[in-house]
Amino acid sequence: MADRQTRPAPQLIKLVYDQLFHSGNSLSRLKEAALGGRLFRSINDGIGVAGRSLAWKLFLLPLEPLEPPPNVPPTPPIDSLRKSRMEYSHLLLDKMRAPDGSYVEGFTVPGLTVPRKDQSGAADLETNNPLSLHDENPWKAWFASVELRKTILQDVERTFPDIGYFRNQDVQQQLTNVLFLYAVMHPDIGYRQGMHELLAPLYFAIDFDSISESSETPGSDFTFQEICSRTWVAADSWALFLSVMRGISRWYEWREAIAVTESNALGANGQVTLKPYVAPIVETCNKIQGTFLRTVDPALYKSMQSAGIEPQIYGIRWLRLLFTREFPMHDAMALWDGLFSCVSSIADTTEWICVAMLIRIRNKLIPSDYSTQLTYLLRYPPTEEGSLNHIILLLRQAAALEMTRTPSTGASLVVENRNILNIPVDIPDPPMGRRRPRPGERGHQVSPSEGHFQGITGAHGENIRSPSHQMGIPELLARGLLDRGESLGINKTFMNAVSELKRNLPDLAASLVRTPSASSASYAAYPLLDERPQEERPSWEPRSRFEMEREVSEMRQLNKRLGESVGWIVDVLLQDEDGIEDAQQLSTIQNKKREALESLSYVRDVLNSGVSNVEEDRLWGADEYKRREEKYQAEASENEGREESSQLNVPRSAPDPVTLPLSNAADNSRKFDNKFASFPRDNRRFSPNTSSATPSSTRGFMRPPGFPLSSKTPPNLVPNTSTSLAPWSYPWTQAPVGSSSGGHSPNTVHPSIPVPPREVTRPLVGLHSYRTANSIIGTHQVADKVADQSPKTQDTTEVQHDPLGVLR
Amino acid sequence: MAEGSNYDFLFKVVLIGDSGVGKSNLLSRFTRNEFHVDSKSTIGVEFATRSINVDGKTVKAQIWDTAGQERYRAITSAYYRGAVGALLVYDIAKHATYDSVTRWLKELRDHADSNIVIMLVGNKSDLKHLRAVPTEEAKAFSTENELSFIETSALDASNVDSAFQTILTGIYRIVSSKSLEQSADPIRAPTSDTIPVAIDSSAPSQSKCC
Ligand SMILES: Nc1nc2c(ncn2[C@@H]2O[C@H](COP(=O)(O)OP(=O)(O)OP(=O)(O)O)[C@@H](O)[C@H]2O)c(=O)[nH]1
Ligand SMILES: [Mg+2]
Repeated sequence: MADRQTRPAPQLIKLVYDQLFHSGNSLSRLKEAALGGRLFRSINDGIGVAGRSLAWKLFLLPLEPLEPPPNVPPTPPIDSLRKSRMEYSHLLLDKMRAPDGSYVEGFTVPGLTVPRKDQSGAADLETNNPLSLHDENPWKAWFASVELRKTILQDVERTFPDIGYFRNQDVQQQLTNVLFLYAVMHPDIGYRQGMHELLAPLYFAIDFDSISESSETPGSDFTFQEICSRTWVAADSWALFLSVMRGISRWYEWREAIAVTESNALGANGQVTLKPYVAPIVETCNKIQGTFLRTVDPALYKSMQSAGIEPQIYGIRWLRLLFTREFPMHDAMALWDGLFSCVSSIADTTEWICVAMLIRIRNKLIPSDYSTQLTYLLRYPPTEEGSLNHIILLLRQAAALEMTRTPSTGASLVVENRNILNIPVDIPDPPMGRRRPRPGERGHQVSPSEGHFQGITGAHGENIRSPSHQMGIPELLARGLLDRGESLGINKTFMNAVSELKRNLPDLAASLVRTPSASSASYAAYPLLDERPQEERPSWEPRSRFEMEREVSEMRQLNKRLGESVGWIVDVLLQDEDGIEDAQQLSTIQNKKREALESLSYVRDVLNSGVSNVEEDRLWGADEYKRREEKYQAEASENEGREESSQLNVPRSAPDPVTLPLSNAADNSRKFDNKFASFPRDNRRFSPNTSSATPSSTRGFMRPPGFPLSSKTPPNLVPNTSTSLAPWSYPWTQAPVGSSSGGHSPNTVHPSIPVPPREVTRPLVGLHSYRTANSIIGTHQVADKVADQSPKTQDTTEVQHDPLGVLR
Repeated sequence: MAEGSNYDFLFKVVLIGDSGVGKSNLLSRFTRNEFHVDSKSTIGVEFATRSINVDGKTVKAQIWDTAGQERYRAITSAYYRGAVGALLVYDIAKHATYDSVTRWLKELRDHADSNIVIMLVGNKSDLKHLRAVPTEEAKAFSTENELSFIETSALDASNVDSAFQTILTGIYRIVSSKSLEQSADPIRAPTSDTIPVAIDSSAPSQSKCC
């Protein structure tokens, strides 16, 4: 454990500093690296990671005066820090002053001198007198604040008892100051238990990276020294704390449970509707379990629901502390790295992390009864994988879920957890004899023979049959998810998901997981791993299987479209002109035939030259193209409506994350990597050793789980060209519209999807086209092939959904 | 939880009382025989179980603990649901925590089953030199309010087992006298596998044998 003596050498901190501010990496790239656990070198070593607080400062503090675009290398947030430091000192000076102008013995404020006792304030002894009972007596407020500080200190003293650093009196004093100021400045929230445990890691990280004024600076970079100044540790922790709390303070909010008049309560009929106060955290918890989880893992939701798990029971701690009690400290801090660098808000990401955490232990939860479920939720089982990867995986899964809120994303998490964390897909059967007491059994004495149902806890570990390595995905899914879903007769949402899964099973099998007997065993071990993007790969490294597959798949799609076009051409050319008298009609037909011939010659060119960017409108005549486009749009919007009404909340998708590791930092290790990458690995786990030796790509991102499952041809979704941002690095409002070079355009991301060209220029086209594209692919594209397997006849009607006629 | 595989009764008992009075340490002392000078403050809910023997029957106690400052706000209903016993803890060395007892009683009245068995617990009895709440005063208060009363020390373990034993036995007595008429009781906690204990004395006491 790092106490103050074991701070890293300033040089180490400076390395990270240079990486952040002098490497030419854009902010979004840096965030992406943080999200992938690639920002720091020694992330596995403990709580203290050199330079971490610098990254947090960069990610959390407002960049003054104006937020630069995310694709520009950031500048150190020094202005912001200067401002908050001064604010902190002045506030402290102000709020810690007793009404007689005195301060506690030994009280100091960084950057300011504590004034001597102010004589003028003590003039009016009627009010300004500790013993006066006068209402205006400023001492009353003072005593209240002394009480508040006591309350805070009581928690601060119990902060991370196993970390020696926090037993230091000065540290405790500083933490108390910061929390006290926060409470005073936010009277609507005040101080609540838990805040101390949010502040403490921030404070620790900043102190860990702090440099005393006297020490010589490496390279005498004054900005660096100023940012890391030890004088301002508390002030800086205050700034970061404010930033974090800005996102999640509502989870600490509570008002007395009185009926609250809604602001718009005065309805048309003049009636006032009273709504009972529900604490925001309860709302969030309900949303996590009742909406999110229900959407992405209906089976788990159902199990928890029927056990009677109220989400706030576990949710309060998960949310308020941002998981510091659910994971070992160093893991939790890595999780924070990701949380702070996420594009969506801390709160949103946190909520989805909760969902991903639930799915990770679904195996344990689903077969369990109420108290066993509760035990798992309140004492979150450690992930056996010792390495950090499980945290990075969790972040990635949360992002994937957030973007694609579908049961198939949920299911792909299950598969991912199996492949990477070795968590079986199969759900163990509940032990025999276990049952819940039924009504009428109250006070019933459970006889020993049937009373062993609690034994399930002990039996858990052993009970789980580890899935055979030979088991293919279809089998796994069929056993773990599909059959179970059917036998439980779960609701329609789930059945839709099931049919979606079934439709995609062939592709899943083909593109995700191969049995080890397949020739590509080493690759199959990491089915969900992204391989290194082409331009990242040195020339000697052969093209990856992934890319080949992508090409083959693209080719197939193209062939299909060309075939479709030729089909239309043939139809047109077959039209008979002979019997037609009407000159106009005749010219229409001739026109059409001309168009058809043009299209035909275009098809020829495409086939000859291997044009990959096929212009959709040249494959069809003008009318035909228009017709198809209209049909497509009509159905797309109809589809949207239908999904909303069925609350499936499905399509919210984004491009596949192909991430580039930070180039500068990892250059050397990458060469090392490459050798590694070509080793056959039949170990299904990440190897912690490999990952620490190779900070960049091998343990980089995996495919977002949504895609392989929801798309017939997942490889098509992988951008051909360089993508410097992971999908979650795009704020929705900053979808890279019209980024002309570099292939950021969502259209190139989905080369196979016949999105009408004009879509490209529409604002927010990214979101829009993913949305429709996903709903088409995910729900309908493959449907006809397996329509007979669909459990509901309604699905067969959905099969008709074929916007441009390309699917037949 | 390993010991919990066999039991005849499962009782949910909640710990309440101001922050820092030692609820979590009472829990860890009783269920794991541990005491932590520096224990984390409780955020949200924690729970642990231990089985004890009462009249030859195995009674499993499922004990819930929450943050004193929380006053159950966000989790009130979930926290009290199905609870058949409550240990209302104060710190004998801190009078303010004793003053809060009435507030906690009100909380119980508002949210818990009206028949919940309540025990007042003056914790930290080892801090004799710092005592701020005289034993007699608390005892008188308990009698007045029909609570049972005990002083404990999670630190030196005195009376901790005894406190839990007493309240669990009390609950068991009520339950076993009630179990004869169980079928007449319509209340149940459908969502939990805690055996919900009916202590509703107003329920028709028609015994039913088969
Ligand atoms: N001397 C003494 N100290 C105790 C005893 N029980 C608890 N403490 C101390 O009191 C402090 C608070 O104990 P906790 O068990 O965490 O208190 P709590 O009631 O759970 O507090 P919250 O979780 O905030 O509601 C800790 O420092 C304990 O070491 C006791 O019997 N004697
Ligand atoms: Mg506690």
